Amino acid sequence: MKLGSSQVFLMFAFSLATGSFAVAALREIVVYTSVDDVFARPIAEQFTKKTGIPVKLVPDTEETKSTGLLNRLIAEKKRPQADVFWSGDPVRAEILKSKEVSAVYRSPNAKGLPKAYSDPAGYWTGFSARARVILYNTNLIPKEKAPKSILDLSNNPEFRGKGCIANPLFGTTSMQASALFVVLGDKGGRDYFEGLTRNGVKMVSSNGEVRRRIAEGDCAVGIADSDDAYETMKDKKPVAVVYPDEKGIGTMMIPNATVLVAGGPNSDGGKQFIDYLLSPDTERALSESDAAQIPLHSEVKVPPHVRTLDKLHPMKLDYGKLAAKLDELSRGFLKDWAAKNNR
Amino acid sequence: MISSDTLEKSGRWRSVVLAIVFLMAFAPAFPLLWTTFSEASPPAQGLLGSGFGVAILHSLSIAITVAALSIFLGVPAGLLAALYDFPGRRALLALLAIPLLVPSFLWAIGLSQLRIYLGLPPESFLSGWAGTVLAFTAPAISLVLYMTLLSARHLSKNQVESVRLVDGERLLFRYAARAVLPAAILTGVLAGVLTLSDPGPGQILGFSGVPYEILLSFSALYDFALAAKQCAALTGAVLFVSIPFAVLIAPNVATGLLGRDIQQAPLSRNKTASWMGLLALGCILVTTTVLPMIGILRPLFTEFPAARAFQEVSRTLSNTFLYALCAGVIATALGFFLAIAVGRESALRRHALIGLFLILSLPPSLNALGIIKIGTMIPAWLDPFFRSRFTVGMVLALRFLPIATILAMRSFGSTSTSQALVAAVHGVPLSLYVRRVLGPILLPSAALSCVIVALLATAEVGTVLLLRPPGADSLPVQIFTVMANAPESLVAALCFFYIAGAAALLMVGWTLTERRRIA
Amino acid sequence: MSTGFELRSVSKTYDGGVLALSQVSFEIDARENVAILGPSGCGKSTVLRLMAGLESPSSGQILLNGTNASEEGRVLLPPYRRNVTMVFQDLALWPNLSVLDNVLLGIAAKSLPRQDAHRRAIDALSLCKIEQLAPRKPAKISGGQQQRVALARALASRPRFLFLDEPFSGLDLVTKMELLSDISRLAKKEEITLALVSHDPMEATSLCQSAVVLNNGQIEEKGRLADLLHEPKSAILRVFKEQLKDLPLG
Repeated sequence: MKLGSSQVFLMFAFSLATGSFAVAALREIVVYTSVDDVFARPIAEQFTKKTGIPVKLVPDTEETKSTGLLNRLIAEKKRPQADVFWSGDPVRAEILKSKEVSAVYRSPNAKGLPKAYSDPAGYWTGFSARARVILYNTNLIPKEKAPKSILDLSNNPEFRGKGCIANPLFGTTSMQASALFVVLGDKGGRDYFEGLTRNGVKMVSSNGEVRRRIAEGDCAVGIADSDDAYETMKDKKPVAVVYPDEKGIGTMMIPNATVLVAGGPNSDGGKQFIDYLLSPDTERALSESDAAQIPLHSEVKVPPHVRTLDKLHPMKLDYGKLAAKLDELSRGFLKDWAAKNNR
Repeated sequence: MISSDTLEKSGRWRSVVLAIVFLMAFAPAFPLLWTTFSEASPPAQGLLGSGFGVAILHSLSIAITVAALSIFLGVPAGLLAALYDFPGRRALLALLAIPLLVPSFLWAIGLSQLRIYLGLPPESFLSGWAGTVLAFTAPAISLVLYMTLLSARHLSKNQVESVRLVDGERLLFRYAARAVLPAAILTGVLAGVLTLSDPGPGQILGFSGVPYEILLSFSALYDFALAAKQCAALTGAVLFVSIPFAVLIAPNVATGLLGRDIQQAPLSRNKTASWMGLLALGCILVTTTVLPMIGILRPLFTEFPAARAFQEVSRTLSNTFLYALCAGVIATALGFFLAIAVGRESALRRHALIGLFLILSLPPSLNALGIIKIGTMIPAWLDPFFRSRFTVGMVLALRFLPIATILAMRSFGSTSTSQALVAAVHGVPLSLYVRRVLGPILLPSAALSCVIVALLATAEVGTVLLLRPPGADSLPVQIFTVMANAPESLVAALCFFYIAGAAALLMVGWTLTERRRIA
Repeated sequence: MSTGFELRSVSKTYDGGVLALSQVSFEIDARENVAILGPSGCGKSTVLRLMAGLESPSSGQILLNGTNASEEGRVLLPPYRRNVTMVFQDLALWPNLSVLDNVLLGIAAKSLPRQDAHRRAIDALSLCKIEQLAPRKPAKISGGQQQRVALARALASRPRFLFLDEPFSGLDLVTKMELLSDISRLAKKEEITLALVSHDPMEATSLCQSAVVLNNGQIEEKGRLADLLHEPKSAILRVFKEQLKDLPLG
């Protein structure tokens, strides 16, 4: 079909008006990320400053549970707009792998990273991690009585009616739930959640809601992500953090994961961005930011408030298995549990 | 030459326009619905025995209560504002638009925060079923109030004065209520239906219904087919409820005005009524707007990070405006097109109303994901239509088309039939008649429709989140994406800029239109 | 060739099966004004709309100057080609336009040069004695003045036929009589044939020479008005005649 000059002009004007001329900027990299905008944006800006390559960031959040970017990525599979998906956790990366949205990429910068936090097949690579921590209100629970294990919320009568967790069907709470079923076995996992109900633990909508409630004293103790916890402490709320299960099952780590989108418009740029994310510099920046993330490169220096991996007892997990387990649980036990506890 | 009386004559074009507009509105949802029905599994699988039935009942209880409350409170308040003048009337009316522009999840968080701040137990009226109703009722009351206001302002001076002469203010109030009720009820019901597809407040305040179930399928299971099935089941339920309703209300949605009654009734100053008006609007504003706002903005009392918030606002301002403007203009244009095509024919009005109910009952994510799917099938040169900021505006417009159409139906229905007929007798071509007479007459309603849709579209985060082109965030989406981990004072500051900016614009707009009207 | 309208066995049924006219036949001679009389809901206004081409008959035929203008389900000659204007019961003034603009838009289809159109509009307003109201909006003038605006708009297009659909209802007696006499004078002067729809025989006698009386969608009687009043068959004319007799005129 031939277009007349007036049609071409109209298309041009329309493209300008709608801002869709992005396609013209060939080297630009489009990064979808489930990492919070406040943490992801400075990293992207730093990358642009270093390389001169503009990055268009499309952030999402776990808060209030949008239908989210993952769905967008899955729906766009045939003709993706994104080059990279920077996931806040490996489960989403694993889901993309199972839906054949991602491509294999082994970055040279992944060399110093522990293999346990990456996909052995190369579909995603883990870096800077958060931890699932216990957050408690220091006005309501004195430091010496603070729980040491997440199991305390389920079976310690001292915390009866005082705890809250986020809906285990979503976000990092869902990942932790499936991890518990993997580590404790199906029966152990079920007992844990039924114990939570018996012990009067409230289910709230999100991790953000958990930290808000604990900060305001509406709830005394709960499980949150370490970045949520740090942010709450920075807000000068009366809260403190426990890295749980240092002696038992271990603290659950949630590494970030980089995913190269298969057939993305600028795959080379995408690889370059992934290299940057996996570099020690980025890990340092993330540990120094308000995300207070734990670097996986052992040589990265961290500020005093950030724990390093060697000072933790991380839960031993095969992250690749979590997604499949979560799918099974979300259609069965966890769905029923959430339905019973949703009020 | 197309004659002006085409507007008042029956013809096949009316059904064709209806079909085209509805096809457009439903088209984005087709790809996903198609997946459901073309799959090997029986369509009911995954629905039965999974608590979905209970969820539908939960959702209907919320929808019905929100509709009833919004009508019960919105109509009297709207009538008082339409018939009487009182101090602060304009400001109160402008401020009541705030709930329309604040995303529902933010309102819910505000209520949740307020409950904690007040030290109320989780079972209090600010959470659970009651809290969810309160969060949804805030924008619903505003919608009904504005529709009542608009409808009552269409009563002519002759009508108002003659009723007032017979039996004073009480009869006038009853008469005006009867005149505005069909449109107001319809708006209330639409606001109720709107709650059926919004998971935010229910989830935050601890009351789950159908939207939560659909969200689960989308966001926890990534099972588009199950989600689409659930949407289809919800649509069926809405259809079941809406058909008898549409049949009953369709003939009365808009009662025509005589061409002779062209003088609008002035606002009267009645001491009792004025006080009641002030009280009613004030109470609604405090309950639906001020209370949740205290919850949202409270962190600002300790810290106000204005500079950082301003940086975020300036980054997202142009996109926010563009999406809102695009949605407002497209929805209004389509809404008036649809209303004129429906005309004064009861049967067409019924069909249109059923279609409008269905549009609102579809979750926005269904349409958005459908558009994304279409976007992957089309050639790149069509990206400006399917993968641009325009796309976001268009999908938002289609979502809120029902609101624009009801306003348009009301507005067009209140014009006199004979005005078009006399133009036809004089040989005034349709285009000239529309340009010189009908257009200017409908313009104020169109402007109002544009503003209301723009506000609602700004608050609809789900669609923008899924469809925004890379780098083109809107301010509410920005608030949504930073609120989990940003300091709560930053989130509060962003909300403050958003609400204050919009409220200021509304007040300026309202004052200007009122001044122009009085002049 | 006959000049004027001719209705041949015209019936009109509206949606929902409401029968407005049944097998109505009569002629309107372009040389004399006709009144279409009858009680409310008898189909009077439908006759005017059919003749104006705003609606099509469900059966039968309408001829204008001997040529077929409308037939079953079809309007063959559109309203603006019938050399007709109409003053509606609700006047149908365009509320957003000034009095002058109401008249100007009414003649916009004539494609007159701007100055000519303006002159003609002012002339029509002067004929109706309202030229001083030209810049005002319809909502800002009285009911009688609004009636004159509607009339001026109709006259400005210099029609051959002027259809009046109960335009005088709601007017006080003095204003009504003034208007009736003005219209009668103008119709003569401009050589316009009037077709008046009314349920008031007094209005009819002031303007028209002949009449058609309808009842329940059918013709009850028709002919020269003087003849009909001499020996009325329809209730409406009988009562009117009684009233005239009973008037205490000394």
